[in-house]
Amino acid sequence: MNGKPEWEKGVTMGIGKGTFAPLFVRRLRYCVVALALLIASGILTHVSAEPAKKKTLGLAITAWRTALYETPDGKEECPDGLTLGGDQVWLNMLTPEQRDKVTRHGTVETTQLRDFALERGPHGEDVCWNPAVVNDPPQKTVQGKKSYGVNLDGTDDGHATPRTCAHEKFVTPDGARGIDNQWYRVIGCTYGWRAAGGYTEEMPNGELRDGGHPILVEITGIDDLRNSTNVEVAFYHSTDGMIKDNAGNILPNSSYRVAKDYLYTTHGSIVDGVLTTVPIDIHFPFYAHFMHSERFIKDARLRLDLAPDGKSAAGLVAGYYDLDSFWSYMERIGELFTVAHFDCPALYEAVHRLADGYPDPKTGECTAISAGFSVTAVSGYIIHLDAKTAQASAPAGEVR
Amino acid sequence: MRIFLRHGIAATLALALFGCGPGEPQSPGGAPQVRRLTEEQYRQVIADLFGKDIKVAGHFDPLNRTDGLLEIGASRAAITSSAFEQYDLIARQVAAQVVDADHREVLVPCSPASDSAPDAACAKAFFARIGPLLYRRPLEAKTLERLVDVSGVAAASVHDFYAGLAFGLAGMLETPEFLFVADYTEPDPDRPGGHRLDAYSRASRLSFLLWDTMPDAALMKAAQDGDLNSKRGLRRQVDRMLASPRLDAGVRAFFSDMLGFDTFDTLAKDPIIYPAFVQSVADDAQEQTLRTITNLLIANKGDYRDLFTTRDTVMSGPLGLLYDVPVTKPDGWVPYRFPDDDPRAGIITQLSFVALHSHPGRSSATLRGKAVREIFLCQKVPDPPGNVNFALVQDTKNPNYKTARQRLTAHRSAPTCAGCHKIMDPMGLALENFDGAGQYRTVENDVPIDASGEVDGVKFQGAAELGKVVHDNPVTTSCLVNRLYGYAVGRPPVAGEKDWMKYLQAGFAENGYRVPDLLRLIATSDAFYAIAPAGAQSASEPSPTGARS
Repeated sequence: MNGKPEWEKGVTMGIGKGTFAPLFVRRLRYCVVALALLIASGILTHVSAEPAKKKTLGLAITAWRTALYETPDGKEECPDGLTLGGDQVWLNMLTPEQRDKVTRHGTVETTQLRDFALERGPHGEDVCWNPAVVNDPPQKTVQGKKSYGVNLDGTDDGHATPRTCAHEKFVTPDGARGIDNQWYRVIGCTYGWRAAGGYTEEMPNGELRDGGHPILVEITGIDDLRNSTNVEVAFYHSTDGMIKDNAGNILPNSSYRVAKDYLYTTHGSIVDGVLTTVPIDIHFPFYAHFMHSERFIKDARLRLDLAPDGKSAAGLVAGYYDLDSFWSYMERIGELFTVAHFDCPALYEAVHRLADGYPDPKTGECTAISAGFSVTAVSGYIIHLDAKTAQASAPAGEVR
Repeated sequence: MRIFLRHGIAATLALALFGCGPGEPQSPGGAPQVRRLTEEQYRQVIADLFGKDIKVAGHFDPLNRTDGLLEIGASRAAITSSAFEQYDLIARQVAAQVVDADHREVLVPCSPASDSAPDAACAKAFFARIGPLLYRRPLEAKTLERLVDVSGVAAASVHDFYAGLAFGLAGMLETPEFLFVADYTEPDPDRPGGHRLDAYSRASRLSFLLWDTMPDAALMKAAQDGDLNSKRGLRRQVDRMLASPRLDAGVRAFFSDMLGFDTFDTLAKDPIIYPAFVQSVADDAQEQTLRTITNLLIANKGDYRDLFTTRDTVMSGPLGLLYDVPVTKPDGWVPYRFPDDDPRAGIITQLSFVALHSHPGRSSATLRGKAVREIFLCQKVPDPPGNVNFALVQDTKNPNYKTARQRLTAHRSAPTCAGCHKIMDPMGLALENFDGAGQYRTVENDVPIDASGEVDGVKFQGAAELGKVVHDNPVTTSCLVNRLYGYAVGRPPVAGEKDWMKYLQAGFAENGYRVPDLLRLIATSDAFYAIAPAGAQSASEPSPTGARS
């Protein structure tokens, strides 16, 4: 305990005891090379002051939402209105006679009707598990030009590249051009993701706040919280709960043990208090609707505004959202279409049609979709326990 | 041979001094007490008797703190008719659970001939088993007979044997014999004209002191066999009880009482000013201090005085927020040691003290200083006069008085305030590095906090050094002796116990200020069981200096 600012505390325990051993060796190697260069240039003989001690900042993500640009009633971005739920889409496709029959003259209960709408494949298939077995009307998508996000493909116009499919670009509300956020284009007109009825995102956020499973971000090697040219950024997962104040806000300075199953590291820099990281592929875990799931974001990068006292941060996670990862979640929550107002077949078709990243070498179809997620975080103590075990249990290929 | 002799003489001397032998000054004893079970004791007794899954849902009327202790207040507690309704409600709930389908197989020692009719034999077996445990003495035959009759009538009227049993049990739980621990006395053969507690009252007094619950079967057996009236038998039981893990509960109960943890029930912090002070923090703050105490005093057999300087404690996830430290097991308790240069050392610097003795939205050097004086040094600080103007002290945004020290200095300029504040403030100001929620701070309103002070000519700097001052103060240990003995007998020391108290204090010092040894000294003494004969109450009146000796 001390009275120093948040970011000046050595919040990470056990650093370099195993989890970070490869990094440590790598750093050591850099140091040796640097030392040799210094000696060779004669600089070292003139340096007497000890280098400033590097600092660490631990953060726990407290909310994760799709970065949506919304106007009242969606008039600007969704001039054709919002999407309908799968049950309504299906009923609208039926003739009055067919509708009367399946609803048994309007006497079928809503939950039963939901099941009918869900299992309406040619052979009774669940259309969320098998979204391609029916042809539903296209999903209503965002028509507006503004969006939050970042330029992921580096182009100004979204033309196809070896790593991307052709797509339209957005402009941020404050005028930055070249923004990629096709994910927003797909779900921006769907009630379940919008602020007014964001059930599909409120549920995981509620579980995060009430049940735990926070994603942790650990920034090490900080010279100065406002400006640091090279920091290391690690992403972890914890099963420890978050502590809230009486108003429901997550409190800073909780302790979180690092779970053994997630570890991703990258580099970044802090400029004027904004952390930007080098893209890497990350599986971000979350818990919702009684299931453990994950968002697999390829080329994920973080752009976080760090509060001057280090106690909080807010910003964006951007990258290419893997479509298989997305749909493995959707197929399990398909029955929520009645409350979240999405239609599985139409959503599936739209997200594949508008996907703009990672084209399949054989088909040329893109397998991931550009996305931006707004996140908030508070400071926390990240506890590294038995680091050797943590390293050994991480999925092969995921530990960098 | 010489060595043997020397050891023998030393042992005899030690026994004479502290072994309840002839060296123990005689105590006139106090008047017999009738002590109301505390809520915690009630819960513990129910848990011990029927299992922890029997819920005691609700609260009883609070006790009045008297002479620094609720346990002394319990000797003067009555139960009002409205309070009795709560006892009635809870008794019925407990009884219903005991005989419900989930518990009857274990807790009712027999099966009735019919579930829908009275069964006197089975009811008798049930009440004969639990009666002595609930009343903490053998059940008289007529009482047992009445319980069987009453439950039989109830069972017949509702055609339910178990409902009848529950009715009888609820009745037992509402009797004075259960709700009050009464001192039953008998003539003391060693003190002609004097009285002492009878064997079962001895067992209760011992058990509630050392374990904070009813006597167990072994203690009841010792009472029945007369062992508690012999020095050897008594010592055997006391040693057994002191060696038991249940001693923790007894020590926790005493310190919860002494530290005033009952006030946590009504503690409120402004959520805007102190958002992190949530209920789990308040709960864990008490637990932290109690664990610190039992770890030091029992597990490590430590010196009581070290409670004021120890840097060893335990930490939980919620507490880590306010202490601003990492916790390696956020969902449990882990040992924690404050670094040597940390301003926190000792229980006075823990959240349970600095947050409890603060206002909802600000710290209070006065309340904290008063608490140190009254709780740990047994010094009574007078209440403020009725016409004191606190406006200056309460105005934490006054640009001319930015720190508590500045505000109190100005406040003390009033002669009516100066006397008491001179006693309280130096200690309290040493704790000003902790805000009203107990969080560390170095400045108040951007002005660096001066936590220096001087008490009784001893200068100190900051909270940790204040702990050292309390540690070194000889009154600290005599106060503890005073409190613990008062807690044990349910009354403050009486005028005729001056020598006895000195003897206890000397024994405490001789044993390295180890609380279990002090408990042994008290529990094996004659004084602990002595009762003043009727008509000799003058000697058993509370000592005018008793609370401060």
